[in-house]
Order: sequence, then structure tokens, then C-alpha cells
Amino acid sequence: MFGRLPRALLNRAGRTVIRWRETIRDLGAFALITFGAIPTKFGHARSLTRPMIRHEIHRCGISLLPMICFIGLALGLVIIGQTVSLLTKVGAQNYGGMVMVSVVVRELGPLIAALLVLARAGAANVVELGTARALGEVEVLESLGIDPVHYLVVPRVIGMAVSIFGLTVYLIVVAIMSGWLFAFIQDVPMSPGDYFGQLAGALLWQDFVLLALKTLSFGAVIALITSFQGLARPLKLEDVPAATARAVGESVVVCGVLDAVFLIVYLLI
Amino acid sequence: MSEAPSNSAAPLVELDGVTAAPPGVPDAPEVQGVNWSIGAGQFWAVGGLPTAGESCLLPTAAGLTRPTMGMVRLFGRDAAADVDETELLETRLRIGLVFSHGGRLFRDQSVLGNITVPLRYHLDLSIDEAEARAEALAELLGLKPWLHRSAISLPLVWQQRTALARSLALQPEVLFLDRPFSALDFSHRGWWLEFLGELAAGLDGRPPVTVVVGGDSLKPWQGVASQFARLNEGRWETVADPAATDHDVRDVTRHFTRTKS
Repeated sequence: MFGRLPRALLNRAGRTVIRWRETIRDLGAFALITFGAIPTKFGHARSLTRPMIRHEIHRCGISLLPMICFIGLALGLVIIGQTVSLLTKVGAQNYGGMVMVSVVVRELGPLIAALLVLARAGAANVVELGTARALGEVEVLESLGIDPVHYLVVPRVIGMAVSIFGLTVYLIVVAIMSGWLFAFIQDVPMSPGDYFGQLAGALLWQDFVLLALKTLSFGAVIALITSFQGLARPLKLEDVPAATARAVGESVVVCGVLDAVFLIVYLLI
Repeated sequence: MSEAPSNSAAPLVELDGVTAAPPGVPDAPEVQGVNWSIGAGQFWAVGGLPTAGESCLLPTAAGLTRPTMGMVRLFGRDAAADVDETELLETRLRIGLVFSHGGRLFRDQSVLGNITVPLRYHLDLSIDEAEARAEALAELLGLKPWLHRSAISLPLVWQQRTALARSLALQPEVLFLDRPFSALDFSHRGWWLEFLGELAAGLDGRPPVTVVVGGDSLKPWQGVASQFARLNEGRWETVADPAATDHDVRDVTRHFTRTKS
């Protein structure tokens, strides 16, 4: 009995590894098809795809602005609130701005914006596309000669990438402003000039480049994974909730891995 | 680019020993060994009991799904051959396919939106231009009162008609309709028979469209269709006298009891 247990565990682990390998392979193929469709169909059906991209930016970006501003406000207060009390103990309260750059600009800003978009728009994406797939709308697109990837996935990839980039910028700006506000409320002896001077001094040009790359890749990855889980496999309506849960889990893992890759890049520069 | 066949008498669609299975289950073919040739201007009615395989055969004949065996030729070209994407698209746009049970409309679009999607995608028309064309088509199909309604909020009979309008938007040469009567009540059948008859003859000054309809019974299509066939136990049978082929009630009972078990 006890001899069977490790074997069963090994079998289970093996199945999981194989499933992950297959998912990565299929997702890679799906990503290649999607990124191939962007240049090859660039400019095709503009009157239809441009409004769809605008709709995606509205759905994943503009409609989430109030929420991202609230989170930015809370983030600034929490980070400055915590760090100022710690830094004051060691007489280093003037480094608050630098902490904001390291924590908010490089790490938490992009990640929080990505997770918010994943929760609010990514999950809905799987449900929409999964239902369309289950109800045979994808076959209809094919029968009309419409490329489902170009019509359904490309606007989502572009829209989500642009949205996460935009939301991250707003989140950072609001967090920085609220951070100074909290420092001011706490009577930290730091003028706005000092605070923003610290921020400017801590920011490198690479931060702007990597921030753009990171947020755009988070958006593309979330759109690809959620579209892949909704579209790429034959689904029944009852499979849609499981596909949604799978897509959210995979997106979180891949965003985490991407974040780690960018962290290594930050450490190297 | 390979040369397009010039012989006008050549069949538009040709199936040679085709075996077709539903998507995702290649090991369970629903129809086998179909040899079928659809010529220009023909009006085919294909009958068969529910699950006889028309819903599987028609998308295969339309080039939408690949046969598990045999060959499908569309406008003289092997549908499975490797051709460039433009060529494939050209062929695809010459064929229309209307699905059964409401035609699988885009749920997030209005009736007008459903009809304009192919126009805007392929012809890159502005919204106004596409809507003007779609409205003219909707007028022809009696859809004008529903144009701005959400497509899936309509009764199935009007959804089915919207799906027909969407397929006709790009003026296909061959139109396949999978069980068009499946969502209709008797009051709408007359309209469909008349409309499809006119479409096959050349509606409103347009070129005649080759029509293929699938359905349970061949009887309603007598006097409208010119060719008849039925699927019996997954086998293709050309029918000379459709009146004589209507299902015996015992066949139907046997079919359903077997399907259930």
C-alpha cells in the first residue's frame, strides 16, 4: 500500500508536467499565430478592427481608471506610511522617494495593474471567447472568411497591452502624489522639491524602457492566455468556468515569471 | 497563383468518396463514401433523419471542415491542397453557409451589426456604407423592423433570417443551408421556400445562386429544388422521386430508440 503511494504521486506529477509542456507548446504556437497576424494583416479591415481596439482599451483601461486611482492612493499611503516610520528610526527619512521608485515604479505598479486587468477583463475575456467557441460563433467567422485570430484576439492583445501600460502610468503617478501627501501629513521634514528631486535622481532612463516593455508584455501575455483558453480548444458551455480558472492561474504564473525575468534585468543594469 | 478553372460546365463543388466526422471526433464518421457533384444553378435538397449527418456533411462540402477521407473540390480546386491564403479566401467568399437553429448569430451585435461584420471585414467599408448595404439587404429579407435589436433577443425565426442575410452580404455563388426549417414555424416556411426559389433563379437582378438545403423531409422542397438526395444510415442516395422517400414512422421510431440506447 505504502509502495503504491509514491508511484501514484509520481504518476500525478508526471501527468502535470506533460500537461504543462503541452500547454506551453500550444500556447507558444497560438502566440506565434497571433503575432504573425499583427504584421501580415496590418491595415486590413481597419474600419472594423480599430473600433474594436478602442473598445478593448475602454473596457480594460479607461473603465478601470477609478479603481487604479484608488489603489494608487492606497499604495502611496501604505508604502510611505510604513517606510517613513522605519526610515525615521535610522535617520534616513529622506530616502522615501527612492523607495517609491524601487517599489512602485519597478515592481508593484506594473504587477498590480496587470492583476487588476486580469481580474476585471481577463476573466471576462475567457468567458466571452469560450462562450463564442462553445456556441459555434468561431465556425461562423471561418465560414465568412474572417480570421478568428485577427478578429477576436489581435484587438484584445493590443488593447490589453496598451491598457496595462496606461493604467500603470496612472497608478505610479497617483501613488507618488499620495506618498508625498502622506509624508506631508506625517510632518516628515521633506519639501516637494526634495521629494521629487529624489524621485528624479532615482529614476534611470532604463526604468522608462523596462516599464514600457514590462507592462506591454504583461498585457500581451494576459490577452494571449485568456484568448487561448477561450478559443484554441473545443469547448462546451460547461467547460467555460474551468477554462476561466485555468487561464487566471496560468496568467498569474506567467506574469510572475516575467516579473522575475525583468527583476534580473534590473539587477544586471 | 494557380489558374482558375475556366470550364463553366464544371461542377462548383465536388465530393469524391468523402467520409465526414464531427469536429474533434474523427473516429466516429457520420457520413461515408459520398460522391456528390453540385453544378452551377442547381438547387439541391438533402434529406435525412435528425443526426443522419447533414450537419456534418454540409460544412465539409462547403470547405469549412476537412473530410476524414476522400476529396472535396471547390471550384475545381482541391480544398485540402496547400494554397496561399488569398486564394483560399477567394474560394471561401464564393461559398455561404447558414447554420441551423438560429444561425449562430454574434451575440454581442445587433441584427445590423451581424450583417455588416463581413462587409466591413472584407470590403473595409465605413460604418455608414456597410449599414446602407445591410439595410438594403434587410429590407429584402423583411428584417427592417428588427435592425437595431440585439440579434439574440429575437425569436429564432428572425435569427435564422438574420443569419441568411449575413451569409448573403458578400453575394456568394453557392449557398449551403443546414436545416433552415429547424427553428421555423409553418407561417415562415412559405417565405423561405419562395425566397430561396427566387434566389436560385436570380433575385432582384442578381446572378442566380446555387442552393443546397438540408432538412428532415424532402417534401417541402418539391417544386422548389431541382435535385434531391438523402442520407440513409450515413450513406448518400440520390433521389428521383422525393415524395416516395418520406420517412416511414417506423423508421423514425427505430432511429430514435436506437439513438437513445
